[in-house]
Amino acid sequence: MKETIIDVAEMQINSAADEVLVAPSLGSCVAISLYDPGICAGGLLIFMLPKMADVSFPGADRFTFMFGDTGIPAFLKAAKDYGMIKERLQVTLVGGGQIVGQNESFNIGHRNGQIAKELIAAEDLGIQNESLGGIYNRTLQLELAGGKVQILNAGQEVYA
Amino acid sequence: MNIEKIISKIDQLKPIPQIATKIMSMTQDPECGLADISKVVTYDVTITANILRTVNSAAYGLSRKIESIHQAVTLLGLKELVQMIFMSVASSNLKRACQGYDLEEGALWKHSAASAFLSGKIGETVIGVDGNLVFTATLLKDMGKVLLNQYVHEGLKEIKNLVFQKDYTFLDAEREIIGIDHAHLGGIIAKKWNFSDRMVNLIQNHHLSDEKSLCDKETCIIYLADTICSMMGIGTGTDGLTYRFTEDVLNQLNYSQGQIEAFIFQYTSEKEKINHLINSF
Repeated sequence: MKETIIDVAEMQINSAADEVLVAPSLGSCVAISLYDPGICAGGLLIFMLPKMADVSFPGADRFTFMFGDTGIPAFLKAAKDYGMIKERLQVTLVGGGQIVGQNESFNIGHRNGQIAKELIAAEDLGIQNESLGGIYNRTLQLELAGGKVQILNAGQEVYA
Repeated sequence: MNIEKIISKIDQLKPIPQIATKIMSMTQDPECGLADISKVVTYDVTITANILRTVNSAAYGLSRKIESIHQAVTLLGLKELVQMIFMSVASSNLKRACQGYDLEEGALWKHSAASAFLSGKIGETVIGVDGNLVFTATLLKDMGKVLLNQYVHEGLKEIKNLVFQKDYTFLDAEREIIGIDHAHLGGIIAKKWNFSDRMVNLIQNHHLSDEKSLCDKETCIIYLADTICSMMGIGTGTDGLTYRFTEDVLNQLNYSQGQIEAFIFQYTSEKEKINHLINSF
């Protein structure tokens, strides 16, 4: 099966039957996978930071998918434009890991997880699989043929 | 575990050529200029070939071909020249797969080079920092993993038990199970390769093993760059997030939360060029 690695701050939506979308080695970034079994199409987004407004850096608006608050709505719109139906969507959230000792303000992973849950809930979407937080680097794989999701913790067993 | 036996395996690594350490000391000598350094570079055929190949690669996207080291040095300037020299001499060791750390071939190299670039970026914002030193120490900081990998692999079950069940950091678990950690071993390797005491110290303390190193801005920069790269998931394995974050590092460098996010943004917005450069070695 063909593996397509999605890079950070990017997203992809596809429906090739022999393809697996992979979000590798997630640290504090969060990957969101969507799957519509009705048209056997799936997508993956990996965002890195919670809010574009928090980064006072010129040119930030050119990187929609780097941020949760801009990337998630744009990803959901792209899924709709692709033909995915909201009521059929299977949603998985993975990542948002943290290093022990990171307090609330530095804890980018925690805040990434929070904004992902908030924005998905705001769209009335349910979450089928969720693996957020902790000290694990995780890898998420989404099989486009049937929507099977695998979450691998670095050095740990497969558990979803 | 017999530490001496582990240390004796340093000879299995491809040594960093003396010319690289010579160039590093030349960069710290105000009497030495770019022309003197480029002359020394030409004595090493491999480094020269690597630099010419890289400046002519997609990373630079030049319309004309660079054919001499003199042209390349003029184009690059001192900072980028030093970066390329050390990437050229460090890549073959760091590209190796490290199964003990769950790092496939090329992953440790990517983490090392990416964190070195980030270190360089952070270093530019802190007054009085030697950018060449910080870049190079960050690039070489995990050389100890290449050697310790075999022993981590053998003791992984016990290491993971300490890390995931008993709240050890990965570094403490390495020390507990193997008898030495990868940062300490990296310092021993750097010493054996005749790096300066300063470089040895930076590599040895890149996880702040010695609390006094918190007062040292260059050590703090290396630590922060390593932490941010692990958070971004660049070339990270089993040990990725299993360290401790020390907020004093931010105070030492006068950084706020927003500036950390700006570094993540800055790195990511330049990732295509950086990846081209990393992949050209």
